[in-house]
Amino acid sequence: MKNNIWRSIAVVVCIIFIIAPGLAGSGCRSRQKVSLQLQWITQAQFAGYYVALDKGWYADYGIDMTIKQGGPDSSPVDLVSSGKSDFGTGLLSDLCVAVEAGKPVISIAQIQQKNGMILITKKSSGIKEPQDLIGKRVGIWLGSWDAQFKALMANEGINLDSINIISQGPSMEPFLNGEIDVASAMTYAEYQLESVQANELNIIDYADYGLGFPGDVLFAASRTVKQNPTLCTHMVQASLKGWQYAIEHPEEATDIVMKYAEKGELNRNVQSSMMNQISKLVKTTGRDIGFTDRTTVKQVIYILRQNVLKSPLQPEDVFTNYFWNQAHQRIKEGS
Amino acid sequence: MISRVPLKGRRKSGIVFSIATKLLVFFTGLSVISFVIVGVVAVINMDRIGSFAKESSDALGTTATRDSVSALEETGEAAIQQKAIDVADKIHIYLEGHPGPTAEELKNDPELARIAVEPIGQTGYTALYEKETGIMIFHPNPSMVNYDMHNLSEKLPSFWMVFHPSLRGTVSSGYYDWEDADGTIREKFMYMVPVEGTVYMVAATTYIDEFSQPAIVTKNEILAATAQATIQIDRQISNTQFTFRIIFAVLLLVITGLSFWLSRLITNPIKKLKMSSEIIGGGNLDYSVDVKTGDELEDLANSFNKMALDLKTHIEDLRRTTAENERVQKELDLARGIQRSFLPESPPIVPGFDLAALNTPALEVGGDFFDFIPVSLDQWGLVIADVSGKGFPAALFMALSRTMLRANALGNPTVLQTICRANNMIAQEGRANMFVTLFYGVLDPKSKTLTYVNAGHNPPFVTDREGGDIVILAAKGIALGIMSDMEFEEKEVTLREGDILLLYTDGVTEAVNRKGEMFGQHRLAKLVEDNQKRSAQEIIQIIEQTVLEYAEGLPQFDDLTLMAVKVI
Repeated sequence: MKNNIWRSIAVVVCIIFIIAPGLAGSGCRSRQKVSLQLQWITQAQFAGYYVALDKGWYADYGIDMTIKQGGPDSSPVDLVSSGKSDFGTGLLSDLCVAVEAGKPVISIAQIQQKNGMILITKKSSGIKEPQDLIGKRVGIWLGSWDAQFKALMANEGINLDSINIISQGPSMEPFLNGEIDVASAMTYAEYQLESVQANELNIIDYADYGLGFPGDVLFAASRTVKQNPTLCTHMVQASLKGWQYAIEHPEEATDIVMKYAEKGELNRNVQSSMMNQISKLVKTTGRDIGFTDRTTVKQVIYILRQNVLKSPLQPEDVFTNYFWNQAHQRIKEGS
Repeated sequence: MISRVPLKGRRKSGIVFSIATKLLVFFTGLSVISFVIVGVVAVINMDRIGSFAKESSDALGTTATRDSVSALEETGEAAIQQKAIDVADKIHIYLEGHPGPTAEELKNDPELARIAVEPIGQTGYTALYEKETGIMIFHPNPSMVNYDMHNLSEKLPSFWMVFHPSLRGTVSSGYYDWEDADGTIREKFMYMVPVEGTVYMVAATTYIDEFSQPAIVTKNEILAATAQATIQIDRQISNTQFTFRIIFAVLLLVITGLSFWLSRLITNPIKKLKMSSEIIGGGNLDYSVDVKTGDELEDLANSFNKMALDLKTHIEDLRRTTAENERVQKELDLARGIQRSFLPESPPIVPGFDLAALNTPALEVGGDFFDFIPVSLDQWGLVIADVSGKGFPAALFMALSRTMLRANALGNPTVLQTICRANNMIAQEGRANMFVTLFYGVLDPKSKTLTYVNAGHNPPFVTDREGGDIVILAAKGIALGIMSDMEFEEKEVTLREGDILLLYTDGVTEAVNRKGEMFGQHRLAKLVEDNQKRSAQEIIQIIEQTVLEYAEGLPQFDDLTLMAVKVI
């Protein structure tokens, strides 16, 4: 009987010590469901993510990835900060505006080193440089997207009142049928449209006037960054691997994008040329893929501060290279 | 001896837990579970409070620093911009006041150099360069004078990004990375503005951290303070958690100990009771359990002790009763022996008569007897009697009665006299209110007559061989021994050949069957008539057998005594 008692004491104690740490909280390491919210529909603009998904590189890191395509009405920042998605994509300048507005999001990789935004005019109009815009009808995407234009005008000493600024929508029709003289365009999208006929156009590139903004970033909710840094590192690592592969194998990447797009939605030729243009924005001389240059961000904030941002903002509020560094560290270590 | 084999059916298969174990597991489990819940909640909350404190102080520091840095940087940007515009204005005014010199002459104009290169703060300065060519004209660093800025386009891309738009003669400004002579990269802010009406541009630039430095210092101080506070909070939390774990461990030990103690407190008396029951079962009835718990267990122990005591009393009672029974049985045997010794072993041989008698004693000695007394040379006194009461006293009284009767009857053929004397003697000797019913008759073989007295006994009867009426030998008289000088009636009956005289006691006629019906005189008489031709011995045996069959095996409380006299 005595043995019985001691045995049961031992059993009770063991049970307590086994259960207690479990109650204190510990998760299990299985595949984690993760979603990435794009700001536009599936297209070559997001090729790197689809390549990583298709190649199973997210799965390699235990990420059960779902890529959700967006559209004109979707706001990845809102979806991510509300927790409906884990990661999102969007322009750096948009992210700056969102952070200033108090959205709890932060960029963890600068995928496009340039945003590829240009102004296009028909050669026949004779418009070649900013000074020529005076008195013309200029189509501009408003919001944070007009910051580059306003900064350009300021630098050129052009009063905005002397220009007829027209809010431009997603359609290029107003430009093609002459309703506006100048249109905003992305080198990889609108500029590639067959109807636009690139050889008949003049280009005013913001980058030529010191106003080239970086483009799409991969961002996360601040809370994810704090609570699940490993996931963020894995996300960056797998995504960059995807982008690297997409740049090196643009045709295969295009095929992968076509595979994931809704049937009949995309034209493969358009996607192929988009892929080539996107590659130029992602891989630039002297920059590693996904790295964020602090001074560039500071410059963007400086420019945005002229007429978009109202309150102080520092680059550290907008981005972190922590996960990029972690990912590179791991790539070097070969994991 | 109580068996130690476990009771089958009560124990299920598998591990069997004692009460102590169950109590231990229950109490320990209950307290530990509640404590663990409280503990986990407390620890989680502590962590939350800690991280909230850390986060809020972090956020406070970060926000404060960011706002200060931003404000100071904006001040710096404004100062640089203002200085560039001022210097450009001054140069414009100077050149308007000194028209004429060639570009080459201007390069060597010390006054213009003095105006164009101005320090801003500690590290900032202004410089003058030509648009389009990008040739530096005045710069605080002599090695930069006449330097073609295009050379920097690839070396310092971020600088070039900000700088190159100004080559077209427009305002440009922004941040860039500058590589110092020692190779360190630092962030600079530059503002470029054209000198009106000339090919010249004024650039004002500074290390922006010169302006934000105070805030950076403050930031570092805040960060240090936050880090300190974080360490403090972490230490506090880990101390508290440690304390909590210690308390938990101690409590666990205390609870386990208490549970153990409590379970022993309950099971020890039970074990004592178990042991005592084995001892008492082993026969030691004087053993008493000592349980002083003051609760139901003590009550149980007390009941147990009382039970042992009762058991002892009962066993003693049983022993006494058994002894008593044995004594009574012995007495009974003795009485039976007395009775038997006073009965004649065999009937006498009387010429012309066939005699037989038997006495079957009942469970207890009834005190019946019969006797054949030689009252003269050829006359025999026949006696059948039934003593009141049972057992030893009845046996003794029977002996007394028989002796008295015999003493008076021997050699005395006078029936009435014999009975009167015997009555007087028995009444005088006999005490305790005992009496005896008796039939006494003297048989004269020559005259074949029976002279008799009936002292309150069941009257014998005579059945006739020819099937005539039954003669009942009734006479006035009461039982002997009740009082002296009683009167009795003497009668005489003449017997004929083939007649059967049957004497009996009430044990025969009052034998009861299962329905509670008595055997009765009528049935007895019929039985004798039916067996008229048989011998005396056969007749009494048939009667005995029939009566016993009638009684259907029920125990008979009275002696069965019969005497038959057949006239040959």
